[in-house]
Amino acid sequence: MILGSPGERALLLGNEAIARGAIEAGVHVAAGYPGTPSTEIIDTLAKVADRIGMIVDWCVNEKVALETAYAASMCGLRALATMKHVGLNVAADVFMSIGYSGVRGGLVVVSADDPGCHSSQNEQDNRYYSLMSYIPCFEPYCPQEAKDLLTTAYDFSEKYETAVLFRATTRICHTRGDVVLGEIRRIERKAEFTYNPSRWVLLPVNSRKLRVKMLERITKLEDVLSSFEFNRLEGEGKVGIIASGIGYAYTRDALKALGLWGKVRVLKLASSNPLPAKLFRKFIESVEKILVVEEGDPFVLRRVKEKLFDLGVQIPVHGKGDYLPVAGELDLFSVMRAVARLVGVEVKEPSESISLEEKLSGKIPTRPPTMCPGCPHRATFYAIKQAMKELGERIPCTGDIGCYTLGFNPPFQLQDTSTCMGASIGEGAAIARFTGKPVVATIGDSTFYHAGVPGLINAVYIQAPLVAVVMDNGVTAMTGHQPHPGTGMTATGKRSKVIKIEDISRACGVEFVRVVDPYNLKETIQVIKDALEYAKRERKPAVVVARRLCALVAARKGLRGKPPVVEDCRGCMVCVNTFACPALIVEDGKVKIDEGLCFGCNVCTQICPFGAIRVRK
Amino acid sequence: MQCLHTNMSVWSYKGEKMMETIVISGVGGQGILTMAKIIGYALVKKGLRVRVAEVHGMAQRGGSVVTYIRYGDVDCPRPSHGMAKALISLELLECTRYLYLLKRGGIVISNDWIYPPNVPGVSVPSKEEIVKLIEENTGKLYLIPANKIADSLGPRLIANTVILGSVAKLGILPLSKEELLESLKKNIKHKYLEVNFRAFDEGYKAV
Repeated sequence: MILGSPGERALLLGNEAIARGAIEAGVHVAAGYPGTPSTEIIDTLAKVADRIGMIVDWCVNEKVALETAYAASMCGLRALATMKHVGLNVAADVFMSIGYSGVRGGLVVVSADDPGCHSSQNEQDNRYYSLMSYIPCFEPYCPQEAKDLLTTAYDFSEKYETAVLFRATTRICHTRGDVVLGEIRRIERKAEFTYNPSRWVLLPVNSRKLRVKMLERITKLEDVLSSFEFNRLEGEGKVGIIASGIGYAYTRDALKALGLWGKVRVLKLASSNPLPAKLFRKFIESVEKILVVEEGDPFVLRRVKEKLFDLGVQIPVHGKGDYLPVAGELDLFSVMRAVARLVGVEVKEPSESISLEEKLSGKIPTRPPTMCPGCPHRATFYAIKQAMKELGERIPCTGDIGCYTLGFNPPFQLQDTSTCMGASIGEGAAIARFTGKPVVATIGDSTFYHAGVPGLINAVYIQAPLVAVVMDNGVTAMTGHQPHPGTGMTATGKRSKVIKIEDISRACGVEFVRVVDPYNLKETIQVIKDALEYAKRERKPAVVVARRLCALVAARKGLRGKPPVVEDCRGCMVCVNTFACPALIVEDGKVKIDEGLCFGCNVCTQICPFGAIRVRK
Repeated sequence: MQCLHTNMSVWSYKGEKMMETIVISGVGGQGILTMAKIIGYALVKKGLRVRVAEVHGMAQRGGSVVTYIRYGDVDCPRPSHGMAKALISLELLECTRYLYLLKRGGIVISNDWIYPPNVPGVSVPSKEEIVKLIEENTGKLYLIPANKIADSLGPRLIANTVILGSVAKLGILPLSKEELLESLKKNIKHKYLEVNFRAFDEGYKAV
């Protein structure tokens, strides 16, 4: 479907539309690190990479992914780098430099922002990176435009020798929409590195000159973007709305629902930075007040105020911060209310529905996401908790980003911190050093490769009594089981060398390194206790690799075990209250196994204090 | 001040063209996204403009999942309170949780299954309480024993297709039974088709 013929009308996920846009633009190299809501772009491209001759990589982290794409651009190839918003923090070092050097082959960096924090630690608005780097920022409003705008971004990138920051948000990335497919361009280019030190070597002597060039470029783009096909003026009236990116989709529906379509002057923006100067001046000619509709921070709003100030024009500007809430995602009602307020019409509040929502939230228990039945992380958390119990001490447990962040929830409550990728080790080692007491850091395999290794080297270096428990389930699980350097497979399914966590740990200077199977609770508890005692005694870090394939991947491979049998359950609820596997269900005060859900890991058979849950013969 | 909304329904649409919202909810892992995709695909093939808003990642994994299907003269993927003409659910608690998205007199079709959240010591309202709560707040409730039907046919995962069959029968969507079956064929792996067709039929007969 993703390789469908031009003119075909397909139902594409926003991320698939972006992938198709890259294919239509003849992109040669695509690289990323998995992160919701960006993952399906590379997932989609990886599936067809060999057929279309595209190099598609999952990289160890976003920085390396962007370096890969940037290097492709240096070699004259068209390149795509994808990441979630916080991934650009990791890649920011490269990104800022690309602003200076500019590009040779077209380079687009997709940042998938997550307003509403559906699957992220924050709501950061990455359009600010555009301002900081002087790299223009494009924002599509729907899946169709995501595809078309991305394709156009490559010609733009090469014409003006600048990278493009392509900012999508959850409701673009994870919305399916009807998309008319376009022509697939095949651009034959050979990767050739050209020596151009004044451009690729960012020494002060070069950077000073490149900075001047960069400033000239962004000023020029203000004019260029005034005649950009994705920016336009619509409707007439004394009331103006600036609708940026997906804000335009909300604006359209709000205007239609209010019967105001065509009666309000709309500046539709697909480039949120720089603002198209001429188009903006034309827009403000007839308007007496302005509403800015945008997803995320009041980014365009602030730019608009700045522009108006520069032009010496006094027009009231509203948006995020007064007419629209800054926190959370846009929703249609909020936008309708803001538009109605601007125009001066009444919109009836859906107060009945709002009070119903409140009433329901009091009656219906929340349903936090949970680790899957058979999840090896559950067993590891149980073992950590049990080890602490046996040592008679609640030890601080620094957390990280992945499925195991769910260890925050009862009954484990073993994520005392969760900050960003790799922080469990960096923070854990520091806390251990400052307090002089052991700390347990819990980190996943993919996260360990991504940003855990420098922290571990540092832990050895500062001699911190840290026990790093690396929960190795063989894949980047949370985002949909993408391979990583420990999987033995590349993004496109080719075999690769397995880089072992225990080997890395030893090479970092860790002297206590053990590998355990978390399904074996007794052994896992003992090793964690040993590691804690070692760290305390030796004042050195220890690494425990808890290795067991993700249960979802194992189930797909037909590696499901048999569900255990329950006989003579006394209803003590120890298994339910301390292990909380979704397959353990309670009926009439007794525990039963839901055989449809059970993975057959048999860990619960090791937990029942009365031996009532038994391995099925 | 001019008042644009004089009638009872807040979302009475002033435009000339249709703009509809359907909500599908359930527990992560029940095949909600697949169901939404099947409906979305059929709507696109019908020539309609479509937005299907999903949630991925952290929000899955046995958590509460809600997707919005909007079609007609639509652009924005995320609706708001009181906008949906139907709420389709694969679990009763998740059904009740999103009732506020329904417009007055909206239709509810739900699997009659209660799956308590995986939280030690959680207290869950009884089925009678839930049904009462739904009936108090909506026009029509159709309870489908989709899990029981699925269990009798094969894997429980096909409960979503059972519900899809019921949706087809009730004529909530501007799609015929054949159009939905065609989309099912396009979006389900070949080896699971047979059992899904049976699930669809049973769901169709169940209302």
